[in-house]
Amino acid sequence: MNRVIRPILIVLVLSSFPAGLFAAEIGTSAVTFNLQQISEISVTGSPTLTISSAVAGQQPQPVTDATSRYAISTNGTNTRITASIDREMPVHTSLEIRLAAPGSGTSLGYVTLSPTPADVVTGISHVASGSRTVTYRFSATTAAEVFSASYTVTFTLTD
Amino acid sequence: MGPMNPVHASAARMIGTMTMAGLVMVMVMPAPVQAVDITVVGSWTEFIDQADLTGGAGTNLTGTYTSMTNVNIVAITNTTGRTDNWRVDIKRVDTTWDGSLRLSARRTSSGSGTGRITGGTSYLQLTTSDQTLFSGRGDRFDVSIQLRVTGASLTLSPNQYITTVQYTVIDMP
Repeated sequence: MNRVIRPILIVLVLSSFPAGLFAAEIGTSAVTFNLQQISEISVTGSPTLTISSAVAGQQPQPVTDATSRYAISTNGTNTRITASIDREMPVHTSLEIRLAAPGSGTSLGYVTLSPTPADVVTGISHVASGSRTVTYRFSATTAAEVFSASYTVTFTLTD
Repeated sequence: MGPMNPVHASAARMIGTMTMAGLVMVMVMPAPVQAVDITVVGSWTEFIDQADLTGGAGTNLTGTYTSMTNVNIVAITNTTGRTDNWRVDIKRVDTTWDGSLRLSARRTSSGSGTGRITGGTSYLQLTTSDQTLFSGRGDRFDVSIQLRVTGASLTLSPNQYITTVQYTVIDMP
């Protein structure tokens, strides 16, 4: 009997490298931005308000001054401006203040000043606004005594 | 044709068996892939407060903040030599980042080493997807990177805004 032996050679070759086999390495760097609470307010103006006369039989008319300005920058949400004076006004007199809203927020109109801070603008959020009008209104009755005095008004931007 | 002669059938089975015994299989495996390495050193932290207002109360924040020219130092190593091409991709991986802050990167030096380096010298705004920042060949050391943030304003609430710049080196054919 004849024997025939025929070995069969099979060669398997990977002919190309898939893209995923390319080596890749990674390096990293951290970036951190610390954004602080920013609440800045400034006021300009030193008005003089004078009541010097009245119509006979009537109370003196209030006098106003709208030459003062304020500027504000805040990244807060729902902040407010309060205002106060350093001491009480004389009896039978009052000093009021009105601030124009700075774009966002609501002005409370004329607010009577006292040593206790009172809200004058509320609901201020994320704003930069300059040269907003501050209006002072001075009132007196005939019962008030004559006086001349300087007062310091303090504005505070608060949460 | 009649049934096979039993002798012939036996021989056929033997031939079949011998053929199976003679089968030789050879596989050529691909050579192991050499990993090019990238090393990144440095991080960037910026504190923003009222001093960053452009003109005090009534003004907004300075919109642009720029790091040192070498806030990151990058090295590409373990290449096969000066003819081994590679590229470096870059992207952001955000943690508490805000989309209004635009982070950009640029290469401010070529570093040292064999081969060469090209591209990346103009600011590239980073996204959360990879983009090629620069490419080259061979080992490179002390490649300087500068970062820049634009878009900061008072519309952003107080917070820590954090992201990670991810550099990926890819060995090229």
